[in-house]
Amino acid sequence: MSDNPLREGLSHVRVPEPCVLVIFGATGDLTHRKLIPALYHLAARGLMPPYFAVVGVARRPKTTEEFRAEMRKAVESEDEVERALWDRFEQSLFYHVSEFTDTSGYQKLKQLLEKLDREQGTAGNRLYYLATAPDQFEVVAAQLQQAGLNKGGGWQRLVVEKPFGVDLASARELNKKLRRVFAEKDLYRIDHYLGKETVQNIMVFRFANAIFEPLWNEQHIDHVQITVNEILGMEGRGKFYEQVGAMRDMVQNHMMQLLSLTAMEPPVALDPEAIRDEKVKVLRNIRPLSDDDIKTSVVRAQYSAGSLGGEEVPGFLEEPNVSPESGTETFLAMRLRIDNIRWAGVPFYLRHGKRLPRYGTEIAIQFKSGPQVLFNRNQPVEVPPNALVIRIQPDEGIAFRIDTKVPGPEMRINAVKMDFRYGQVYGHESPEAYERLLLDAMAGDPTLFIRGDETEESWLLFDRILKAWEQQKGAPLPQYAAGERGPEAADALMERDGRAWRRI
Amino acid sequence: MAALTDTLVLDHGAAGNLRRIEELLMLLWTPAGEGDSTSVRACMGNLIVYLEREDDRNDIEYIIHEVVRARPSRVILMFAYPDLPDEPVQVSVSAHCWLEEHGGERVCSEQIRIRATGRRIQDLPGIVVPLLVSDVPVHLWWRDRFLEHQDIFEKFIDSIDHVIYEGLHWKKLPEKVARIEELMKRLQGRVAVTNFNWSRLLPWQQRIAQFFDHGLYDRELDNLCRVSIEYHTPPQQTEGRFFQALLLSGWLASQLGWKLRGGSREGNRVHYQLHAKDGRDIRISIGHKEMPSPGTKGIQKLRFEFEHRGASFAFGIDRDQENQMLFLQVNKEGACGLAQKVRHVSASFATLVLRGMENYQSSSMVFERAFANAAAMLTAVS
Ligand SMILES: NC(=O)c1ccc[n+]([C@@H]2O[C@H](COP(=O)([O-])OP(=O)(O)OC[C@H]3O[C@@H](n4cnc5c(N)ncnc54)[C@H](OP(=O)(O)O)[C@@H]3O)[C@@H](O)[C@H]2O)c1
Repeated sequence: MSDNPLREGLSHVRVPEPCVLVIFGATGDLTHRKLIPALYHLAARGLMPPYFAVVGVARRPKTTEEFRAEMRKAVESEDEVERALWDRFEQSLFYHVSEFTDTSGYQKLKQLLEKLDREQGTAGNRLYYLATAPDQFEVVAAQLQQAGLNKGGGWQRLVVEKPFGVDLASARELNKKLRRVFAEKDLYRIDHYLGKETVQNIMVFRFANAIFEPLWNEQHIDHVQITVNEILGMEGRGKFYEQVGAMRDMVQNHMMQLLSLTAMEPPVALDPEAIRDEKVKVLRNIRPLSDDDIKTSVVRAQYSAGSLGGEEVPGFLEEPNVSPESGTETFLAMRLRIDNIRWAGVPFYLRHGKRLPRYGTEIAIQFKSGPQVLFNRNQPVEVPPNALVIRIQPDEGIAFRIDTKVPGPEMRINAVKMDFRYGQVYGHESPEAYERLLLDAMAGDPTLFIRGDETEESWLLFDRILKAWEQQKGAPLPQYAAGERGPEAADALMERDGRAWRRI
Repeated sequence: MAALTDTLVLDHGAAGNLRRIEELLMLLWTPAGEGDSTSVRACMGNLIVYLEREDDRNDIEYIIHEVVRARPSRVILMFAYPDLPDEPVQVSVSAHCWLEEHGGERVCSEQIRIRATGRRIQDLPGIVVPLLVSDVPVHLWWRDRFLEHQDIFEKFIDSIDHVIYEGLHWKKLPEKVARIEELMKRLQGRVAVTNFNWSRLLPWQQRIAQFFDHGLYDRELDNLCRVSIEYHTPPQQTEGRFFQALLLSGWLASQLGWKLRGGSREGNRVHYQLHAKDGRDIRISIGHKEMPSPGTKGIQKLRFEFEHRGASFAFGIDRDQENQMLFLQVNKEGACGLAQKVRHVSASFATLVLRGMENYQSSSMVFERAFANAAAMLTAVS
């Protein structure tokens, strides 16, 4: 794209080039709930390319007209639909029925795409979106290659939903297979956490506010706690979750992204590769966990039956479609260390679990205590350390705990909270993460997508844990009652370090 | 917290008036009694509004409520009645409150109303300026005839970052434009100036800019040779709406480096000849239709024509009032695709104020250049 002189002073949202978005798995939940609504909203706001088409691929037979009607219902179930806008938008939607393994289906798809290029002006540019189960990723990619759909006149990109492998070997294998078909620069691995405004704000907060960067290191920070707490249990996803567990569902991907953004060095530029280079360096610098570390610094557990929000809820092993002998964890807490100059000696504690008493995602930077001597001259006075909390959800915002003197003749110190909430200051709601991510993928900006080496570095770390757990296979996991703050072992992990989990 | 404080009557020239207003503000945040839930005070800036019309009192409340919900600010409303006899200045303090999305806390923004009559309107800057919240931007919205009371406005200049005014109801356009131009030169680099006539153009500018964003058409900027603009106007806005079309033309000219060569009038149309840097001749033509009020108003149609080695094509943006949409269409041989449809709702006053508050830093230079070109275009046909 050349510099457009008419852009000066206007918002920087550029309209992507004409393209076709091909969604594999177009009858599925993700397409209904997220992708099509996001595309409709982008189109209504004038952010879609002038020439544009969506081709939905799945095996359920249906006509394009039926597909359009279903998609309209899907958007309507979330939001109001403006008729005139929808009538235009739906003319860009097409359905193509095909089994993912059917080679002839791809040939027909190719013909359809070429026809769309001619009729809709989409210029050979294609964004393939894999809204399918992970075991289909390689199948579809290989078929795209065989049909020659990964090359042509325009650009071709592939969007992949997580999970990116289930361990190091499978992640490497997946990357290898995908890279055979698409260059790494054309692979867009989605982590919808990165589409959230607050997550994007971590970098702005750290690097635009000059007061924090000098404090952002081992000299001033005692430790960091990253927490993702959920109230929900299985909600009908027991079968899926049992295969995955807390580590694969949340910790290895989303939480490691939060950790990288918190710990990374300033990138040399705000370009995608510079930012992702810095994130990868953090992952590379995480100290590998020895078997002993895994025993002492990693805690996993399962929820048992309990009471939450006044309701009796079953334990994980009693959930539908979960084996009563399941060894899958629904809670994971761990301590990591980053071996670089900035973070030497600063532990990063990660905690994630289901059926916990409160829902919330946050990054808490716990500062070291200030010198106490000044206030302790006559009698002991407790000076609570400062804490900076970046809340991702709910109530996205930033809070800072500072010490103040309690009014009165004696020296008493009290911690108070300075609280900034996005919702209070920026009245309008943030756009859906998928809107931003789809727009970026069409525009060719991979900043908010995960690079292959990021997934592998993260798996390198977690693979050791998986291997250690493999040896303990069959042993029942520690339990915590639903509605409690997690297993005792997680508290003990902190207590041994002379610290405590934040109550969120 | 209290919903509205008592009205304070200021003693002219007496010390302590400001302290009494500060006390009113404090009172606002004092819990009204047991069970009074606490509220969060939010403030991203100051918004001062100057109003002269009595019938505006209710409208302004709605507008301000919408503005502060999106951008919580300390609002100071100056009700000035120069034609009434001198009376003591009156001040009251209230709050705009709303619940955060998804059932969060109650968030409030303060509002101070000041009523001044006769010569006492000269006291307004001296009361308002000490009440501004420091460290956040100060926007002054001159809701009524801008520069009518220039002496009062001048007293604000050192305390504000941005002034917003309307511009639609201008009469004696050349004189008005010359005065604003002089003012903008004086304020350059200190106070940003935007007007609603400009802010209303934003969705059009976005659509035009977007057309040239990508590889398909970005090079066509060098082949652009004719622009035509059609607008509708109610009888009382003819001059203001004309100037809006000139601002759009002026923006294109300044951003694309076109130099004005001359202009002419022909019935309901004006024509301009310009020169691009590469020597190309460019023509801009502006036409209008008078519409009874209420009726369609503002820009209705834009047409961009391109020529390259004997081949030509056009890009058009048309407004559909009924469906609140813009149609974007390319007429080019061999070009495919349907017209694009994009949401286009007439901007409310609150939206215009917000656009001004959000964009004033990034767009003020662009506006100044567009304004200068528009002024030159006006002179060329006056
Ligand atoms: N749902 C979400 O909110 C969400 C959020 C984040 C990530 N994800 C990820 O997104 C991906 C898709 O999730 P989902 O919930 O949308 O899955 P889903 O509802 O199960 O949909 C799967 C889709 O794949 C199609 N499909 C399956 N096997 C096929 C085959 N052999 N040939 C052709 N089509 C086939 C299905 O079409 P037929 O019905 O026609 O067979 C259906 O359209 C997963 O990787 C998931 O982890 C989902």
